[in-house]
Amino acid sequence: MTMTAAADAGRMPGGLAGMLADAALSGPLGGFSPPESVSNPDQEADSILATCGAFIGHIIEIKSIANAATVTLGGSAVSAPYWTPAMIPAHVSLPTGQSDHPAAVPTKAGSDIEMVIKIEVTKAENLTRASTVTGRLGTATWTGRVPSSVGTHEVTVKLAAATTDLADHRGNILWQADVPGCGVHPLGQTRVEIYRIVEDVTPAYLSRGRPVEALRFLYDEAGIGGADAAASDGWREVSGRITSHLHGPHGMTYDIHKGGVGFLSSGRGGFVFEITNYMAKQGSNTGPSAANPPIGNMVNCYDQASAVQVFTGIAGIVGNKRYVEPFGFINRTTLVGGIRTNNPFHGGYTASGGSIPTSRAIVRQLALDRTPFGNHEFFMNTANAKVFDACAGPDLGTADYDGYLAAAVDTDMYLTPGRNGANLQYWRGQWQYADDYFMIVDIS
Amino acid sequence: MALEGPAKTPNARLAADRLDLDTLSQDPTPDVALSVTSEAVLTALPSFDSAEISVGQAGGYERMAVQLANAETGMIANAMIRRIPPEEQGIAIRMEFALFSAPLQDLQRYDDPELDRLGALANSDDYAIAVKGSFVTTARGANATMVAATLTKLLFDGN
Repeated sequence: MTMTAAADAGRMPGGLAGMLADAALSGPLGGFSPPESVSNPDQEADSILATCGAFIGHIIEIKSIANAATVTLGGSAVSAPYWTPAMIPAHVSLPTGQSDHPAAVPTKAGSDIEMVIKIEVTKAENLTRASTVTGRLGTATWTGRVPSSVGTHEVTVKLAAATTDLADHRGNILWQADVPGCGVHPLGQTRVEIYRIVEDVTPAYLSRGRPVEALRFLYDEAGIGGADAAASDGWREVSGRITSHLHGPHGMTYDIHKGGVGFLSSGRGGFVFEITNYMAKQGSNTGPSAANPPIGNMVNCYDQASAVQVFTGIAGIVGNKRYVEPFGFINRTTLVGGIRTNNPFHGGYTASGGSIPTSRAIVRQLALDRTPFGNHEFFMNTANAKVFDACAGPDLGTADYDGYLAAAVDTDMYLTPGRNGANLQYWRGQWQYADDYFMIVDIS
Repeated sequence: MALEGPAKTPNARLAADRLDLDTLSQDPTPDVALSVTSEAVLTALPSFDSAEISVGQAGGYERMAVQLANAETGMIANAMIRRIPPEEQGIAIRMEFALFSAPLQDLQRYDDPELDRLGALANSDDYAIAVKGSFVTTARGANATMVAATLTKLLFDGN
């Protein structure tokens, strides 16, 4: 749960009970007059919940959210409206920070999270001036103006200022109307789950929308919140946090036995990245032996490059995977899972037909049991052509293609007799393969 | 075209050769449902005692995932059965093998008269692929060859 949601949960009743309590609150207080000492009760509405009894209203819908990107929940696309009373029963069973109608909003160009809400006013006696509608969730406050007249009104509300910072808005927005001459009236609560993304980019694998499950992963686990999407190095900050998380804290580990894949399958025109299984660390890599059950968190570079590409894409940054073959012997690095090595396949494996003995993670440069990467794949962002590698390193957007290879590959091996075949001739082969050689066409 | 790349990696070419994918040509079976019950799966594969089945659509193909386990022995296998037009099956299978970064020298084709194609990593038997009509099944984990073959045949037994 985020700080926003936590603060909100502590302040508000939440759920169906909260809605009903709020609804009740707007009625029985009729007849209350603001104290005479309050010269202008409307301007002090924040601290005094007062009503003259001449106004009753409720929010009945969040009709739309400006510029909202398509989001999926459980694989199905979410459509507006983003809140109605009919959704309350579903929300009761969800954590306070989750909605069954989540949304994502691009924020690189700045966003004030403008929404159109519907307010139903059922009582408005002798009121002429429009009321100010306020919705609060944590430190975020939406405002707009609603006519003080009976009827259903569509109201545009937005935050006080647009921001380019990545942030989430999760929990119950507490709405109220500040009615001129009549005090402050609660309008009810609405559950929202809104994530700011960098831009609404839509690569092929996001053709059905952004999974809210992945947006939760990006904010709750990869920690992209707070990054400035419009900053000159915003792309590096966001992609770097994602890459760093996938390389370390997420808990994946490299297949030091066979370099096998765990989260990809073929699809029409490319590959499917099994993002749900990846987040749950339930892959199909069998690791060192077929006799063992699959090791759910075991990955190879294709998995990791795909994960960086897909998660940064969901965050709103586009890029391509780069496939390099041959690659060759690697300089000492840290493979995903905290494996410090210059000999990536040192784990050995067994099979009914024999076994490959284990080696050591760190070996001499010319050791006979030193193993190379036959090929390797990593992610490069389009706008800046920098490398992000969550398999080895990690590399967090500081190197370009040539710089990355120069640092990663043990080029001294080129001069080693008998090793030329295994050596990467990367200077000749570096542009041999097209962008997205292992193209991701879908996620599941 | 994106397909040309991965389908031409060494393992993809090896798979095409060993499994004779160029001759993989069979009639589609649109009337056969992509559907099996866990009871039928466990009856056909008695070495497992639980089967979780989920169906969906991804990558342009209808697919069914089957997770098999035996709580007592710890044996686990995963399978994915996809409905793929016959003309796309060869390249889809090539791409599956392109995902292996280690050389697959023990990839072997088996003859099974009830299937259009069956292949597996012979030494480890932890990866297998079976084809019949419109369906391509990949299996990973314990007894992969048996799992892939049996699940594929089950589709037709029940229809």
